[in-house]
Parts: sequence; C-alpha cells; structure tokens
Amino acid sequence: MNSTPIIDVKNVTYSYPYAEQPALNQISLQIMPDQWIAIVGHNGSGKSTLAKTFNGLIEPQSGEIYFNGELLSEETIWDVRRQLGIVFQNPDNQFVGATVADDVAFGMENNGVPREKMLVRVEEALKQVRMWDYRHQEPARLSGGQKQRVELAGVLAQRPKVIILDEATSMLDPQGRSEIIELMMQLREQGDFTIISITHDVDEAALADQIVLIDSGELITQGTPSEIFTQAERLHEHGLIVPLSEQVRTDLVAAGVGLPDKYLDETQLVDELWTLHSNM
Amino acid sequence: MDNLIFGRYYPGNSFVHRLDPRLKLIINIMFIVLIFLLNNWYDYLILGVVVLTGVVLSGVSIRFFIKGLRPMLLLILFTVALQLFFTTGKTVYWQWGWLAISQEGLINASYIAVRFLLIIFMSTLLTLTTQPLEIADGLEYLIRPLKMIKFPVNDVALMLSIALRFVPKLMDETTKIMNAQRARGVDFNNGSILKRVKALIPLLIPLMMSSLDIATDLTTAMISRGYRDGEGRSRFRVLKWRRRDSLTLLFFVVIAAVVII
Repeated sequence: MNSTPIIDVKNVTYSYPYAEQPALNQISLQIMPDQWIAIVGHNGSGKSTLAKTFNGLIEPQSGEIYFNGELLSEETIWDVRRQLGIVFQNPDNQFVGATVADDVAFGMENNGVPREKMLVRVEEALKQVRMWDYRHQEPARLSGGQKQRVELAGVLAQRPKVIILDEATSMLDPQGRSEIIELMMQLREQGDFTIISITHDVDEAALADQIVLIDSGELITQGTPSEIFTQAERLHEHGLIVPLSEQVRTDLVAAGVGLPDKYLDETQLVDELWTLHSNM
Repeated sequence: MDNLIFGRYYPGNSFVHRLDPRLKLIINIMFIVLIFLLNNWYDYLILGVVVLTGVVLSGVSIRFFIKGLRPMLLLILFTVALQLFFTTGKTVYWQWGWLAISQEGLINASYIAVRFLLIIFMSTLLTLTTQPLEIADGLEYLIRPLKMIKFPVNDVALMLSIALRFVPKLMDETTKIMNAQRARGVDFNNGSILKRVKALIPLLIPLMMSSLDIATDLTTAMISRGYRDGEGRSRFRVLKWRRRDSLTLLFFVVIAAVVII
C-alpha cells in the first residue's frame, strides 16, 4: 500500500460567517489511499463542512490540506477537483444536465475532454451503475436512487482517485440506499478508489475500513468498525447509536448469553449464535 | 395545465421531428416576417398549404394544433373585432354610432385572423416536434455571432438549459407547497381578488426560498465537478446539419421568393 496519505488535513479550523462556534476546530486527519473511510457524526457535527474543505469548496481560516502530497492552493485546486468527485445529499439539486447522459458528461465537458472520449466514458460509467438504458431520460422521470446512481456515474466518468459520498444515501428509500451501498462495495472490490462516505447511518459506516467520529467540529476518535462500535457509551455521548448487530449482542450478553466481548457484524453474530447453539 | 398544448413536446420520429432545430427556428422566424409582408390571398393560400404539409409530415394529429389555438382564441377574437369595427373605409355595409363595418375593415380583419392562425400553427409545429433542449441548443447556436459584441453566449446558454431542466421540478414543488398550504387551510380559489393575491404569499415565499436552496446546492455541485466559466469546455451534445435540412431550407427560400414576387 502507498504510504503517503491521499488526503492530509493539518490543524484545520473553519467558522461560518456569523456562527458562534467554529464548524471545524483544529482538525487533523490522514486518509490513506484505496481505503473506505466513513466519517460519522450527528447532524451539524461538521462532517460535511470537513468534506467541502477537501476540494476547496470551503477555504479554512487556518490549517493546511494536502492532496496526494500537494498543498491545496489556487493553482492546484482544479486539478484536485478533477481527481476528487463528490456525490451530494439531494439527488434533485445536483443534477445539472437535461438528460442522464448530459449530466454524466458535464464534468468532462468542464475539463475539455474531447467528444469521442466522452461518448466512450459516458457509456462505460452508465453501464457500471446500470443506468445505460435510461440515458435519454430526463431527471424528472427518475427515482431518487436512480438519480444518485447517475451522479455516481458522473463522478466515475471523471476517473477520480477519491470518491466522496456526502450523505448521498440519506434522502433515499431503503431500496435506493442499499443499491448505492452495493455499488460502493463493488467499487471497493475494483480497487483504485479511496471512498469517503459521510453519514449518520451506522450500518453504512460499519462497512468501512476506518471510521472517523466527529462532533462539534472536533475529531473524537478514529479506528476500525470493531474498535469504534465496542465503545457504545462513547457513541451515545456523541449522539449516535451502534449497529443493530451490536445492540443485539449487548442485549444478549445482558440476558446471560455467552457471546464474545467484541463487535460482531451480522454474519459473525449469526455464526457465533449457531456455534453456541450447537454446543449447548 | 394539461390543456395547455402551446409549448408542449409531442414525442415522435417523423420527418419534421428529425429536422435540425436550428433550421426549424430559422424557418419560424422567416415565416413570421413573411406573414407580415404579405397581403393578398394567393400568397396566404400558398403559405397555408406549406403549413398544412408540415402538419401532415409531422404525424401529429391536427386536433393538437386546434387545441393549441384554444388559449389564444380570445386574443384572436378581440383583435379581429377591433379591426372589424374600427377600420374606417369607403364602402360601409353597416353602421351604428361610431361602430362601422366597412369593406376594408372586413378585409383587414380576415387578414389578421389568417395571420394569427398561420403563426400559431407554425410555432405549435415547432414546439410539438422539437424537444425544449434542442430548442435551447439551436438558440445557442444562432446567437453565437453575438459573442463578437461581448454578449455572454455561454452563460445565457447554460442559464437557458438549467432553467428548462428545472421547470418540471419547480412545478412539482409548487404543487407540493400548494397542497401543503391547503392542508393548513389556505384557500387559493375563493374570495375577492385581494384575498386571492394574499393567499399566494404562503405559496410564493416558500417557493422562492426553495429556489435559493436549489441554486446553492446546484452551484456547489457544479463547482466541485470542475465548472469554471464557459471557456475551455468541450461539448457532449452536437447538432448535425444534414442534407434534408439544406433541402428544406432551399424549399422555403424558394417559397418565400415566390410569394414576395
């Protein structure tokens, strides 16, 4: 694995105009390439603000951000934006193109990609998210989940290094959400992408390699899902809950079932339970 | 809203549908200028035949065109009536006070009626057979020469295409807010004019606020996808001028020449 962090945040502080508290307070964070990072925190904890500093949508009052070893500045910013794609929360409000194919091409148009190349990449990206059959459709006729898939295709067509999903699933129905999550898992399989998902959905965060917990603009803790989810108390303190499998586990332990004292995901929990049952 | 045919697109794949939008726009402009230049029945007959040919070639049922006339009917009748009663002429058929029907008035009124009819048919033909998006693309192309006088063609084109894209979305939003306010007891349909105007406030302000939200989100998304200004962009959608477009244009120029002479 490459040892230079793809995104390196150093002591970043940012306050919105007229805000009493800074949205980000002396945050330092390193994100390694080709990992899936989940940034979690309750509403208003500063996680979206943090993501917006990564591609310079927000310029911090102090601190530095390095992308792939290079300092984010006026000169490098457009280059970074090409390599870092964001899918935002509201599927309606970020759809620029008049049709699906136009929207996927928008980012490439901005970067002056020649048309022949665009045609190939649009097709590739739309097939990857299974929206190719809808290429001539207008956004008004698509469901929320389909629109987010198109947005993801638009990001993929740009061949980015980093894909940020800024609460991209929070306005979707359960089916649309699981489709997007499934796509993210596929992307991770293919490798070559750093995925940063910003979410308050702990079940989504449980899939990540690393979880970063943020509250009131401060980095609280960072670690693998199993490290984070065994600290139920701490999560509660910061307005979050543990995943369902962990809740079931703690409740069962409290009821006297002899389960191991560590975080288990759903399959692991089921495995433990049937082993336990056959030992009885 | 469903009765409003004017400005609607009728999906299809006819000869007229497949023509280049630039051509359709140019022909429409030519046609309107032509209509006002002419004033004899033979020429109108020729143009009428041309329009009807277009309608038949478009494969769209004539009922749509007649429906398209409906919202304009009152305006047409009003204008025709004005022409009819207020044109002063020598041969007076009927008179009552200062209202008079003269031969000249009759002729003028029927000219006006025919002009209206032909223009509405022609522009309905344009909108029924051309997607709004194509119209925007065509317009952008046609105003491109204005770049020379520093007119921001790219920005206007972008604004146009975004506006078109958000029309259905804002319509949805309007219906949603209206229903939400109705559920809270706002009455949009009854009462005096003043009352009805006041009832619009709980609709307009949320709509305005949500438009601002949309605009903020959209610009954020556009910037993070690398949109700077119109310069240095490549284009995904291109218009193709084919031989049938040249031929149709030639045909129109010939017709125009014939009727003017």
